Amino acid sequence: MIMPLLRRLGQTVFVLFGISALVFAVFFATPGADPTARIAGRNAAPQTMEKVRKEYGFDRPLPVQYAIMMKKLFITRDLASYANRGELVVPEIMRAAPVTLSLVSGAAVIWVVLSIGMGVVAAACKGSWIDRTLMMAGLVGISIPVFWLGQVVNLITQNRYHDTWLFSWVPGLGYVPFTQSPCGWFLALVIPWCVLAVMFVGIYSRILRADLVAIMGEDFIRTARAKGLSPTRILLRHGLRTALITFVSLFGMDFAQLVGGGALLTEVVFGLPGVGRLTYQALNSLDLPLIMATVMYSAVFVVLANALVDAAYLFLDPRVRDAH
Amino acid sequence: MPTNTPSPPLLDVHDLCVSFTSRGQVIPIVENLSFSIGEQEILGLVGESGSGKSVTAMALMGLIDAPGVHVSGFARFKGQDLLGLSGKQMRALRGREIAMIFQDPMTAFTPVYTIGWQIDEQLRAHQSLSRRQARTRTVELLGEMGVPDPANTANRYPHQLSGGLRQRAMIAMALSCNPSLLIADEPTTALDVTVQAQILDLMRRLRTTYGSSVLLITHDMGVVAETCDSTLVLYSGRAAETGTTQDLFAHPQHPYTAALLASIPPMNGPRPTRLPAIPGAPPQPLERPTGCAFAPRCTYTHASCLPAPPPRFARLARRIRLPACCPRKGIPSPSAFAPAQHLFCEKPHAVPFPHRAGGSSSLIFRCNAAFAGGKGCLQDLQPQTRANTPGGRWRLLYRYARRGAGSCRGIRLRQVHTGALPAAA
Amino acid sequence: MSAGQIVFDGQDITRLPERILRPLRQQMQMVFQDSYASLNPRRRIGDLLAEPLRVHRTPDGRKHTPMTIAHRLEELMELVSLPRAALERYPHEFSGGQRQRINIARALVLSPRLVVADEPVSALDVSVQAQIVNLFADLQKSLGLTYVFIAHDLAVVRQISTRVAVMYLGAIVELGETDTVLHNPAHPYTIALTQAVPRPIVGAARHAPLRGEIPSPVNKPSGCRFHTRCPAVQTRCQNEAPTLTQIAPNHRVACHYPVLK
Ligand SMILES: Nc1ncnc2c1ncn2[C@@H]1O[C@H](COP(=O)(O)OP(=O)(O)OP(=O)(O)O)[C@@H](O)[C@H]1O
Ligand code: SF4
Ligand SMILES: [Mg+2]
Repeated sequence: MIMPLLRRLGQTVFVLFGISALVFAVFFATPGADPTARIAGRNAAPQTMEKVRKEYGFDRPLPVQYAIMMKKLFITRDLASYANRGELVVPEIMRAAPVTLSLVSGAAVIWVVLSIGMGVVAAACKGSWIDRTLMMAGLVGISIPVFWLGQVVNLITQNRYHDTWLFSWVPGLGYVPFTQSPCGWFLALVIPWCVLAVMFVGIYSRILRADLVAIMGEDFIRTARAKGLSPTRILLRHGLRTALITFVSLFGMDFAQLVGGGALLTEVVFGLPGVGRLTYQALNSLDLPLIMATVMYSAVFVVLANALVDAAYLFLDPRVRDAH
Repeated sequence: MPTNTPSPPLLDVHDLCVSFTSRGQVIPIVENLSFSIGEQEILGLVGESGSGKSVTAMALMGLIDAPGVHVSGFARFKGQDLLGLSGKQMRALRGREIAMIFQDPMTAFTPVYTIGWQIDEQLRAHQSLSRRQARTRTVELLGEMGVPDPANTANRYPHQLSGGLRQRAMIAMALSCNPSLLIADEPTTALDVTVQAQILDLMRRLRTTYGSSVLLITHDMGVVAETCDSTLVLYSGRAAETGTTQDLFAHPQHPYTAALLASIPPMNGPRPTRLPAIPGAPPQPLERPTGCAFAPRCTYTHASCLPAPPPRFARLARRIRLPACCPRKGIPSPSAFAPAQHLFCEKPHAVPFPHRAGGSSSLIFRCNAAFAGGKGCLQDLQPQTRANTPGGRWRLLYRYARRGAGSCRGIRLRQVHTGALPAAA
Repeated sequence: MSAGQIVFDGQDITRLPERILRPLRQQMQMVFQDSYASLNPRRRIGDLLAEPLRVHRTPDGRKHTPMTIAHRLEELMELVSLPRAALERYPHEFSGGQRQRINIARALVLSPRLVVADEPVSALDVSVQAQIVNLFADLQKSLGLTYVFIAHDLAVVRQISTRVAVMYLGAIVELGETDTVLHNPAHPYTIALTQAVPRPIVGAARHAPLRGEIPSPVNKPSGCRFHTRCPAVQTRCQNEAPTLTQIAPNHRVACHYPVLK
């Protein structure tokens, strides 16, 4: 149990190194383009250019450049944005991360609970109208674009019906830190959570249902029935438990991808200052250090989440435990 | 109706029919199957792939829930009709009174729980035991099934065990609540020969240690011969023949049983240059002939085999063999038919079934009323009629009357003198 | 990783370059256990059988013409007792036994001299199995074939083979004439095996089954691989691996203490 975990950790470190090198190469080692000019921004003064070149070591060999960049990102954390008048990039991301994390975690709770509920109920009533209705709803959820849904919800709750009793509690767009007011935090986020979760509820409930239906045809389910267990127990303890293996691995990937900036559209629509919106702004202003930092940040998240999923696998599936 | 049964059978299946519906067509899988299993008896259910063995077992367990499935008939088990029970009643019975083990022990355990957890689960589903008590019992059971180091094995996952150990664990789980009936669906097919021998050995011992009756499903005649007290041969969803294993192997009455036994390569004696194979293949359920299902492959086929399935000589008495076949008069049947045939069976629709139980021999004749315009042909025989045959002297013991109508369904003869008499007068 | 030699017709084929090996391969063909998985479900039987003929040349180096191919296919159908119409049909339209006939026909297309049959009858029903065993026997006689017939059913092995090699955990433990090996087995494993086969005879003498189970091939026992289960095990067996030695003409056994009659 310990050994495979350690090995997985080693792999993670290695992958992280590979990804950072790749990201670095994409941004700064592209032949024919001078990274100095790109960092300094458009029409930068020659002194600025010179300063940047010195600071980042662009006159030195590539490995050194890489080392400097990593040092600036992870150790001294003084990577600064030139487009944004010397704003330090890493603290900026650190400020945005909790917002994204709040948004995504809440949405994740909603989508996991709802999709497990929907998937299980649909699988239990396989072929009935309940099953068909739930799966239809799932399909609708998948096909609604999140930005459109967000805009419509905003329109309803902020404009049209804001003054009715139904939506008068909805605060204005924006984020309230949890430390400042837990209640405000919750109210500010509850609508974004739901909007972000809609698509995932659709995807996950459909996947779970398909998985469960397949599993319910397996031999071991027949054994469980022959043991005289109740249908609920069979569905939950034997069916769902086995189906969770796939569910968890998918969940890990999606969660990481969202925390890494994938919730961009939701953040923009609801005016939440999260990592996604930061990336969006950085792209708009071609702020290279910031882009580089957000990409690194999201890569780190995806890789870490991957490692966590694998660790979860070890707990969930004894067969994997021994395969290592 | 006179029977010679000491106690009512544990399970008495009568006219079990199972059919599926597919694309609007009704596919009969199992047709009019009747059999019974006594206390502590091992009944072998043999048949080829697709003959409906598993479907029969699943129907008895109430485990078929495919859409469009239709199950009819009776299955009396301890005074209850299994086929008429509600889901809840059936659940209480399953695992506690009737347990089942499956062919592939690898896929039959839930992969994410330990063996011990799964056995505990069954124990606790039917008995009020604490976690610890259940585990104690589990370890005990595993030990009784010959699992080495049972306490540790209980904590292992299914994939960590070898096939033989898994099957032992499966048997331990099935026996955990002391079921009166164990249904074993090809329990050794997936195992190595030497391990198969161990498992069969275990199954034979169950009867004495646990007092369970066993319905052993297999396609291997060798397994049947070694393990079962009586045997039911299934061909294309219909019973071909049933009887005690000893009789059935010594004197197969149904041409299919006989051909099946003949086609197994012998392990001793001279090697035949060619095996007496049965031509063709079993029919698909939808292509079953209207008459005898075996007719297209049978060497004894004649006109009366074809129009309708051969009448089942249903339940004259327990343990009487019922070859569902109407051999043609004049053509040698696969095994020597009773010598009395000449005397009592002038009519083509009276079919003899030699039945020799224990020392005293009795002979049963079925009256194929279906082919005699509904009128029994043995009607006129007077009680106490005697007949001399090359095989001995016989006396008419009694007639089986058709319920309601007064016509005769068959007769039973008792042998009053054995040995070769001078040629029959 | 593989080591050792496979000598076919005087040549060690593990060392031959592909160019020389290819024509030799035509003379060795295989039949597998799963009759369905080894036939492409989307192609007609005729196409399946004709393919090797289109790819390979005749022994004297000429191409097969459509005429000769059609002729050969009909010949093959006759050999395996299938109707000619079968050539126009797809694999799923056949029963297991018929599919195995088709597989045999495919193995025979290029007139091989050696056919390796891996459990060709174990997936078949008893009543059909006899037909295929007969077919193997007939073909051997009429075409002078050599078989390597892999099976776990001793009765089938006895029916079809001249010589038998019994394997345990990847090594041959006994090798000899069929009747010698099956009726006078010298290796304890062969003895246990012959005793463990269930016979269709009521009241046949039963023997105590072998203890334990086959160890995993990844960590094989030291010494004689069978020593963990052998009823006749001695200390020597645990340390020293026996080699295949001749105990009688045409009868070789890998055991320190073979049972000699
Ligand atoms: N759910 C189902 N729907 C339709 N047909 C079915 C279903 N289950 C089984 N059958 C059919 O019933 C027939 C008998 O199947 P069954 O599994 O009982 O055979 P078997 O005698 O157990 O064979 P085997 O030796 O291969 O296990 C087969 O033709 C099969 O196709
Ligand atoms: S009923 Fe006829 S066809 Fe069927 S087995 Fe008997 S003799 Fe053969
Ligand atoms: Mg089956």
